Amino acid sequence: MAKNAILYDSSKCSACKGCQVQCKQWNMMPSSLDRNANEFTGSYQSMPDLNGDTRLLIEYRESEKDAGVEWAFSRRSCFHCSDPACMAVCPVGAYSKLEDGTVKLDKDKCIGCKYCNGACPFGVPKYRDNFKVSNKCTLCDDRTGMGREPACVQTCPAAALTYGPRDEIVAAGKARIEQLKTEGFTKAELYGETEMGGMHVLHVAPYGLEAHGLVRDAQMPTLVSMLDIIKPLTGLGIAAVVGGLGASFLTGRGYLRDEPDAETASAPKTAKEEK
Amino acid sequence: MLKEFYGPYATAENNYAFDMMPKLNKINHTHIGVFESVQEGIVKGMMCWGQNPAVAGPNSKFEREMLGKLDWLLAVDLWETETAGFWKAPGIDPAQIQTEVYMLPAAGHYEKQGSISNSGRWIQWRWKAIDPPGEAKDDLEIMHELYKKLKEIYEAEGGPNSEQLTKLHWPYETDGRADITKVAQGMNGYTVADGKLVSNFTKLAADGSTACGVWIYSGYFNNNEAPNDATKQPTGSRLKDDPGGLGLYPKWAFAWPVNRRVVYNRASADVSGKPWNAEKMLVSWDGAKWVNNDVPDFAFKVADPVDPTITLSWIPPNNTAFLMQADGSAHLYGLNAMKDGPFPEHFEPFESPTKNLMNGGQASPVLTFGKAQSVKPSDPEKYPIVCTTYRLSEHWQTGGMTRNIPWLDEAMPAMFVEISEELAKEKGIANKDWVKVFNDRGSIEMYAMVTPRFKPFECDGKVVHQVGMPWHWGYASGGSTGAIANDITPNVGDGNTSIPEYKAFLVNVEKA
Repeated sequence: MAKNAILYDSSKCSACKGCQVQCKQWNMMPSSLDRNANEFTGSYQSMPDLNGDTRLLIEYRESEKDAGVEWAFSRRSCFHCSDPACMAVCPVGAYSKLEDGTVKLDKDKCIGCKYCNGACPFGVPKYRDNFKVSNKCTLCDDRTGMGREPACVQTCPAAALTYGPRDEIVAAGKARIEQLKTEGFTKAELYGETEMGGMHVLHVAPYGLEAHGLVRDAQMPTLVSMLDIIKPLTGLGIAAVVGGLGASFLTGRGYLRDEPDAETASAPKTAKEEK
Repeated sequence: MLKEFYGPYATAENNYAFDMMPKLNKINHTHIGVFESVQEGIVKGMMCWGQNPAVAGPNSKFEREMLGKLDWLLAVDLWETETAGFWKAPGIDPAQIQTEVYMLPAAGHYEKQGSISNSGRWIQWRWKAIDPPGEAKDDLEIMHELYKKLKEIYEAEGGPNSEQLTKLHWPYETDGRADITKVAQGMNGYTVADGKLVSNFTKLAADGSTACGVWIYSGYFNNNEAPNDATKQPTGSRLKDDPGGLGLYPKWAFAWPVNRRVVYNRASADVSGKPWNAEKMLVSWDGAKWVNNDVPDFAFKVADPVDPTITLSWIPPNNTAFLMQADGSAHLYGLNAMKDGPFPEHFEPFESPTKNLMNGGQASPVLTFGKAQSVKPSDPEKYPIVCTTYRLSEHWQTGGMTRNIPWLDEAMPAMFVEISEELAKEKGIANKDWVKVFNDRGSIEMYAMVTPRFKPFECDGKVVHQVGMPWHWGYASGGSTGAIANDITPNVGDGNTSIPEYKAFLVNVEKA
């Protein structure tokens, strides 16, 4: 079966958050029912980061440039890597790769150890407290399996999200970058063609990767390759050992992301500490 | 129209009940004017139907005070809005409010059948998907029950102008229940003698032999083959045919008038009838006849009076393209139609931080309510900052619907004011600080969103700051509550329509 992918073209995105809301609706992910329970982020961004009930978040970054203000929108969600760190680190085999490239997390197998939360170079999987499992984008495999587009793609009114065979998506992304460059977006870059073995969600970043908070040269964490070696021995005892390693690895590793706040958006980029 | 409104009572002898129609007087009856009339004791009762002036009105704090002066208020809405619960507003003592408030729960748009019209003039029929919850009813049902009760009271007790109601023609029911299909037939128009739907407004007569509630809609519900089936009517059609490939979709809903998708489409071709752009042909004269992708908006043929599908002769192109003008020509301005003009002129907003440098004037001399006491104009010395208001994509209007949907509420969960980095520095405000935006009309508190997207202007040699606020929050139902932006907007209106000047006014900003 051919690999499929989503192309997110930030240069076409109006950041209306339709995809973010549609993701929650299709996947029946709740939002708080308590009055005034949601925090003000200081920008148009809905919440500071993905969380256990939020698999897709539109991010806003702004910075002042000579030519004016760059307002960079990003689609923060699972990239569905060809070499997924989450899958490599999972001690119970809750992760699998589907034939079309989807990296699937089986919530029934998940034991809620959170290793994947820290192993992912992008910090995408999040812990769902009330279900005691991790949670992330499924690439709507319940839809794509029936020949439908992912929910976010179907709802996008600006056609900033498209879905199709990965080779066509990569070609479309590259062509878009060339076009953007001729239109003055000299820093435009395509993200996801080769990163992490090639991703199944590609991101057109008109202002360059850093402006969109995308991790340049994302790497499989070194601990993950160690885990690969010991994986045949996987068992409860090993899980405990790994647990010890994992704890230090969770505190030691940070992924480079900007504060979403407008107040720091124009300040020098600093690494955000992993909580 | 009178024949539809007053039915058998409307005859040539009584001038088709023309005297029953309310006539305009000198009082301004626009939104702003109604609240001035409440203050003057002219208006004593109010029906707010899907409207929320306690949040949406200009100078909404003043409008809420006026709601408290009413004898009675009826609010029809999906939720308890700020208007329905105006007596619960912060700072109001409910014991001091004497207004009798009625709240009628309404059905949402998936909970009722009927048509919606968009600003592209398309009228599309929508069907009911689910029953409304609890005691909620659709608008027509509420109006129908209200009408029957009022008629009963007026017939028993009489009252001023009671005939306007007791003589009203109201055949819009089936088996005792309100029936939207019958309303649609009445709006489309029909022959009185046999009830046959007219094909469009050209078939209407001035002698009372036809009736039509809304002539511009005529033709949207005209299929006599299945007069009670909206799916078989032009407005219920959802076919995706697109002859010409121009995106006109003539069988997708109905566009008033006569399903014309582009008005004044004669202007898409030159004097000889040749389209300016051959690939975007709406109408074209081929030398002998007109060919068209849209319903022509000009006299283009002489049709057989008995069977209009038979063309007796074609009217060749001439130099007129604007059917609604007496001379058929384009006009640069409307003669005697506007209080200002005829040519555009620059005026500063009612409240402005600068002198009008373009001409000797300042604000528009014809704006309405500029002298009303309730307005409390902002003195630029005290309030030097320009403020504007706007909507967000996450919320709709006063937020009644969207703040009650947790997914949308979470997407934009709090009221804020956008402030430039320069103004923030001047005022000692940091991003996410709690700030106060105020003028003499009111003072409201919210989060500050400090952003380089807002920039100070230079006006007449001075630095002028601008701030901006959304207006989707209030104190009533919903996942989030917040300050009402319109508490500080001015209730002055433009000279022709009294549309409130929401978008430009003066304030000051401080850390709260």
